[in-house]
Amino acid sequence: MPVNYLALAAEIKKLGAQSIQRSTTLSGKLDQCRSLLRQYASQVILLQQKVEEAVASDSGTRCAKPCSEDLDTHKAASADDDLCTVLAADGSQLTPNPHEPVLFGLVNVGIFRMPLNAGGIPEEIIKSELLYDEALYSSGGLISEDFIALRRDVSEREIMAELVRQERDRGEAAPILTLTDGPLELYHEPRMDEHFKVMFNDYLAALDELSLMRAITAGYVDRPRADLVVRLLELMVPEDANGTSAERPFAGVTDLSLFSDLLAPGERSAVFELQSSSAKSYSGQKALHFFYLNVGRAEKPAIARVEIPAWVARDPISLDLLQHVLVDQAHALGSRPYPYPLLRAHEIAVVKLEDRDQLTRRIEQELLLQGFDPFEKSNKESGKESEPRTRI
Amino acid sequence: MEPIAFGRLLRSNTTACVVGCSVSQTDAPTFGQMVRIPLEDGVTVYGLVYDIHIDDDGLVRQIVTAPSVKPEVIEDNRRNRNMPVEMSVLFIGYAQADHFSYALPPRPPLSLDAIYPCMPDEVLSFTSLGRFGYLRHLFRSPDLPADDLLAAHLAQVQQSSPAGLDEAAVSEVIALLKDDYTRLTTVLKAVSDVM
Repeated sequence: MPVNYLALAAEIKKLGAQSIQRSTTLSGKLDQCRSLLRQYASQVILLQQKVEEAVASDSGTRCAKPCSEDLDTHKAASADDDLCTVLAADGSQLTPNPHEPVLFGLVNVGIFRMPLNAGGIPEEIIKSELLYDEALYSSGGLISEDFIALRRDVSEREIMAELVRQERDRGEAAPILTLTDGPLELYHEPRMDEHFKVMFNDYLAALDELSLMRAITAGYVDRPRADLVVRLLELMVPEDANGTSAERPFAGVTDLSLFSDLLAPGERSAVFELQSSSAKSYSGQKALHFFYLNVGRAEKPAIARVEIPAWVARDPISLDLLQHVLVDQAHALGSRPYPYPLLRAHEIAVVKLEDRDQLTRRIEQELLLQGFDPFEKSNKESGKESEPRTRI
Repeated sequence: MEPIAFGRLLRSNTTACVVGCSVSQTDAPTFGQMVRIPLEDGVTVYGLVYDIHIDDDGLVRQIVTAPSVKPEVIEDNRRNRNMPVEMSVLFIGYAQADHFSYALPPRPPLSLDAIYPCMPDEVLSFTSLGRFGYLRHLFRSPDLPADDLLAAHLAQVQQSSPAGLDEAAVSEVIALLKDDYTRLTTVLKAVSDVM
């Protein structure tokens, strides 16, 4: 028996009981959030000042900063089914495993190119990069899972920039949308590592190139857990009689719950600037912004957070087209709305266990041809893969 | 004009094979159509398409729940996604050095062998050899839709062959099923729909 279910039974009961209590507490906090949102909806300047004060006292402040639209903005897209091309990218990776017979890594990026309203046929593009020798090591030794994920994210963005350039060189004048799954902001560690800095600069350079080519760039976060707008509202909580306020009065409330009621199907929220410690790295046209978008139905909202750079946030036509395409493409998946091009990019990119085995065998064969001795898994790995126990 | 291969072999055994082809091909063969598979050793295997199978997957099941499906999505699923139409082909004979035989081929085709539709002259050459002795293969397995398969095949024979050949086929069917009156009645009823 892999889990002590008997011991956990009481904990599971307790979890259920606490969930009810937590839900009641969160519901009360959510009501307060909504009330504050309505109260300060049009006081954008005041809210911006509050954020700046908070940043002045704590440079690590992370929250939403309103731009020009009211907090309670809910806007439907007005774009038509115009000609445009969607490039969606997703990546997957194989992290080098010292217990496997051969040491290698892989970054696999799948791109789905979809010309919209032009009668064209969508295309699949796949770019695979094998990592070996020097590429497997950073200053801290063998590269980590997080490091290879960073490499994947940078590759995605660089490939997007390259493909947009090719489209423009071919004379494509229609708008080009580049979509990726997840935020535009990179989260990977270690941020102080020299390799990280080099790759981060490559990422920023790719964003710069996309900006120059006016590619409508966005990162799509499905079912976001962020509380950026909630944190903004926390700055507006009045202090108590002693002049103090709780550090996180609305902890646990998410932006998703806040906007689920506010946004009708197809509508987006106001565009906010992302205030975070890494914001200064994304300066000028790259400054990170976001909005919430309801791609669901009247009876079942589906809220996504869409991260965009400044050059998209400040262009109402691009913003409107992006909103229209995301809603339209999410509806292509029926009862589970999610942008179709992103789902296809994931399908193209994903590296399965059998792909790993196949690649391992090919590398082994090549090394044997080069005169190396046969390779074996580590004793630990072999033990893990031995026949499972079938009876006591 | 040389016909274009419409698919390639996925798997086979002594009596039949399964062929995969792209969904978008509009010239893919129909149920009951006669096809040929040239082998490397000069043997050409002949067969009839007796089943056409289109698989779904999770994404397709999800897309069908959408109120409308965009043309780009349909094209993508038909052309790019790895979902071939699977066609089952029943072997009915083979040719070797210009000699036709209604026996099963000496060996089945191999993976990825190409499959071609039979042109009217090929249908005529194969069917006019003898007294439609190959029709016995259709009645070998109870799982085959033999009645409708025969009817569809005879419709093709009718278009390719001189008058009277289809009557020879019916005579062969009567001889094959003379001891199974119930089945013979059903088969003749199906055949009468196309003749």
